[in-house]
Amino acid sequence: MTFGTNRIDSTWWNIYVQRISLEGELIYGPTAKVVSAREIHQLPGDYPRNPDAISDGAGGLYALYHETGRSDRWYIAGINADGSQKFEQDPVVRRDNGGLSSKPRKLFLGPDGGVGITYEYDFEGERDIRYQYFHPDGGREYTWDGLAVFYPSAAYHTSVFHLADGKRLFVFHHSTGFNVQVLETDQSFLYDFSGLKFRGYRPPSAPSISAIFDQQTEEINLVQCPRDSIITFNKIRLQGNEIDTTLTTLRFREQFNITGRASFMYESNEFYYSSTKTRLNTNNYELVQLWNKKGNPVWGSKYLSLPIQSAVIKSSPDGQGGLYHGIVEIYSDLTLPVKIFHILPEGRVDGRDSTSLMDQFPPIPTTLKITSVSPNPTNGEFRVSFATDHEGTHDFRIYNLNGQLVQDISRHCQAGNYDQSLNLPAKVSAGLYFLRISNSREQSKYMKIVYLK
Amino acid sequence: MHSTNRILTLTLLFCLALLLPLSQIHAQWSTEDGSVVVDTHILQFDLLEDGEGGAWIAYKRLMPGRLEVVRVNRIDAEGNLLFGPEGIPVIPDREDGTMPYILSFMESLPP
Repeated sequence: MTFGTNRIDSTWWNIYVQRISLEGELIYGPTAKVVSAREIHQLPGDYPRNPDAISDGAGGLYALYHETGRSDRWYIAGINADGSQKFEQDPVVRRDNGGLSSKPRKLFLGPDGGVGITYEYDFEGERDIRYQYFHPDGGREYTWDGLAVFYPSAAYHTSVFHLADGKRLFVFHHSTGFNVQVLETDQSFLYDFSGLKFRGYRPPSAPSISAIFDQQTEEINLVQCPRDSIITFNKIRLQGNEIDTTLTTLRFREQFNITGRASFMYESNEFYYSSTKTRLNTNNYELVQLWNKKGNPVWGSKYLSLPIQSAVIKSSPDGQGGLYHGIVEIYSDLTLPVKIFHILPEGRVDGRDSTSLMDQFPPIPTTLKITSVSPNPTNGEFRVSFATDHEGTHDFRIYNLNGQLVQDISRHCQAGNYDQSLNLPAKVSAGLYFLRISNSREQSKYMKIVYLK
Repeated sequence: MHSTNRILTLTLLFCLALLLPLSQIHAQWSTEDGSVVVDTHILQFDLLEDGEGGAWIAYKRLMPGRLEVVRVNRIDAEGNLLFGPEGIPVIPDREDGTMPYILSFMESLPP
């Protein structure tokens, strides 16, 4: 694990590394190890953006950091398991000629114990994705410009997998899907331009994603959690000059009103876990669901509901098919305790009363529908119950038999079930009226209203 | 005879219980909502599988005097905090205005 310390009085900070045994022994001693060879000058409170660190697979690690006020000047530090530094001088990813943007970048462990990095190259508005590889001695594989692997646009996520035959597989996730590229051992690309395109699910913005390459089956597993809480899983395989997309395509959609993004996705051998924020009857919940690999919710319409007044959510598998789920609760006295739940594979919270484990939430409507109007006949005031599958403005209009508008209000709704109070104006005469509910998707429903005076 | 054996068994179990650390006697999952509360006033935290059916937790907390410290603890499958309620410091606590920050928290294979 790596820790940065920012000293606010003299504005410098270092990266510390510590290793801990299962018994709690501090392997690098109580003072830990300083991993970076330089003191990194930082502005107070200016932590490194998008830091990344990876294990070297042998007890050490690589860590990425940047210099003060130079978000385009990034270094890679390395430390061995015995605490010694890997590099006499930390390699810098690029020379001082700009072009390295502050967008997210990732480190990848190489087959020889070196470290690769992908980063977004941005020069005078032209963007592409570059790749650089540093061997264990710190020597770079490519020139200072790196290797352009995906262009002409940026990608939300890039994954690099080192194949058994020495080739490198790149998976780029961008605004319109995925692209896959293979770098041959002779440094040529297997596919033209930016690789093979796989559309997949088109996200509204950068989603959480994982791409896992199975070395045995040579399949690429892609899991996405877009903002609107649709969860997709695609299993694809490179087949000549095409992508075989016939293997598996699953699309999970939560069955309740979504107010936040699916914040977590964990894949076990048999299941996917999802976690989504929602609001129901003015109460906030965080709901956990378990999905089988056919895309069905294992717990049906029941969800594990957890306290939602939380700032941070972290999860980790427990290695037994369940997971640990941690949240920081926000109490009214502004204390911030972290609470950790152990969720067992069957969906039970360890230690929680088994009769109150799961809460059933009403299914999300599939269309616009007026459920009831009450009272009807009415003496002016009435309540309409309706369901909508659409988020947006909903108009409530009341017309008389001549088609004249006598009442008109609007409200914003998310998909869900609602009650709306309405009233007929006192100045209109008794008789038959029509209530029309419509939304911006041009769906509309009518209901007769009898007005008695 | 059965009564004597039972007394002996109970005495043995009692002695064993005395030998166990306090944190291992009380299963932490038994809190009302099935959670274990690791600390108060958390500023940052991370979770990690420990490979033994439990989890590591690293967290930054605010101490009196605005001192920020980093602690690590382990939770076993029964919800016990294996390193006590306060956890263990993994980098030195400093009172010179240094503000630690958890950059990464990950599995590291033994050398």
